[in-house]
Amino acid sequence: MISITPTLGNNANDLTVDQFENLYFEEAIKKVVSETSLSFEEARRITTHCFQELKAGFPLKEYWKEKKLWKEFRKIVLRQQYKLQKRMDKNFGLSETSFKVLLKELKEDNDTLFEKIFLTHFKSCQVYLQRNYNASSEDAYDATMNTLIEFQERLKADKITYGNLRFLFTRMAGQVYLKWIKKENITTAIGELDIPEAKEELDEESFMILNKAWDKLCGSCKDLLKSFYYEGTPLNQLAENLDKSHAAVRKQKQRCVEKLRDLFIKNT
Amino acid sequence: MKMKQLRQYKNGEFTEKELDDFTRKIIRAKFRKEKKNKWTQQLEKDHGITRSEKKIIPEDRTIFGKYLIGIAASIVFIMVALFVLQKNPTSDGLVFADNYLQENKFPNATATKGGEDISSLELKMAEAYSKDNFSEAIELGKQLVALDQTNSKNSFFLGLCYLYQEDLQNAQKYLSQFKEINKTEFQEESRWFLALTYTKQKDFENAKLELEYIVNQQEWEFKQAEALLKYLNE
Repeated sequence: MISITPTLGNNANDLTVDQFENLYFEEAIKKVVSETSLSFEEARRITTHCFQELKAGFPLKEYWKEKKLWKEFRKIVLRQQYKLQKRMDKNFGLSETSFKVLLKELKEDNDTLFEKIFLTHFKSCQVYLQRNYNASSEDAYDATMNTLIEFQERLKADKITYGNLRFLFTRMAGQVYLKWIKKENITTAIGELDIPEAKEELDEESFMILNKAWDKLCGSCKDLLKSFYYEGTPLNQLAENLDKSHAAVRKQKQRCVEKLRDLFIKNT
Repeated sequence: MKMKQLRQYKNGEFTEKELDDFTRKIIRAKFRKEKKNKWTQQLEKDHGITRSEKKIIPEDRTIFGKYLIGIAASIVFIMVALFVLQKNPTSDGLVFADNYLQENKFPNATATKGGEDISSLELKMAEAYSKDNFSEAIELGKQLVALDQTNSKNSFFLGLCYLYQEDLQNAQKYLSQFKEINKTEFQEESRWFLALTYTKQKDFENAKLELEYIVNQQEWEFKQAEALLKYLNE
């Protein structure tokens, strides 16, 4: 709680808190924007909050030395900044605004910001799995990689909200790892000597064949199949985008599926 | 992918629904794999991270990378100091220390252990600590330290109680005692709280020594330590 004494008289340099706010509010926001990485919106929010907190601690009709007001104000700014920083730390350094930018970019098929943020934190997640789950370096690497994929897809699908992304990510990585371990243990316990149950992944050979087949597909088929099967865009949405009927797009999709299969066989 | 499914796919043995499902699977798998390959390359090129344990990541590059992350994380915090009109590194460090202590109470896990094999005194102290009843926790802590000098954790939590109560001299005494006795547990933690104690005592040189240790370890609260160190160095 702020506890400083007001000045006795109304000297030319003394201010009420309202006067102080009116005089320095815009300037304070501009300074925060220009000297920190915060967006204008965030800087305004923080500055507003700080002035509110300042006003709550001072009788509004009293006059105060400007220097003292600044001293208290900067304490509040530091505190707010600290809280924001803590919140950002929990969210891989993302503010709420930058999180929205991330989502927007992902939906536009732009991975740049996602990669910049999440690949930077890859190692810490890998180490977390090694320490907390006794995972080997390779297993922790694979689990982190799979989590990245899963996390990105969930972000795109708006299934993840801002709050504590770091916690969510590491929890998810733990679950991905445990699930995989469980699968491995079951296979070992049963003692199957034939090929263990395959993961939903392409082996290298099939991947090469599929890539060759995919390369030979026409552009419209590639776009359609990718949008529908990978990005999960519903057919009616695709029909609207392509300015075609639902039935026509459905038919086109079936033809593309068959075409891909034919090319896959030819390249095998 | 199962071999059987691949064979069915190639032989055209799928129903329309099965073909649809399988196509979805392989297309998703293709794009996921492409993404993984891309990220694998990026991780190796930009972050020095490889999947294989045999490949050694250059130590200096890793540390440098972590150092940069630490700086990036604390940069916003530091910039506030630049924004503020009257610069005063001493008070910045003090504000930082106060903020930290107000916002982050260190948990005493003893309170959640059930306590059957833990002495009732220890449990009582942990409970008092968790309820922020530091005066009671201190009395119990003092008894514990007197009774069992081998359990250095009691000194650690006693030091913390004093710190939260702003009795800096005793906080320093018990946290230092813990640091001297225990060389395996709570190393970063004890040094961090000791650094906060020194900062609040305006003994910045000793605070810096503790903070440098934490920053070099790159473990618990190292980002906070870097941020505070920056203030103190200014």
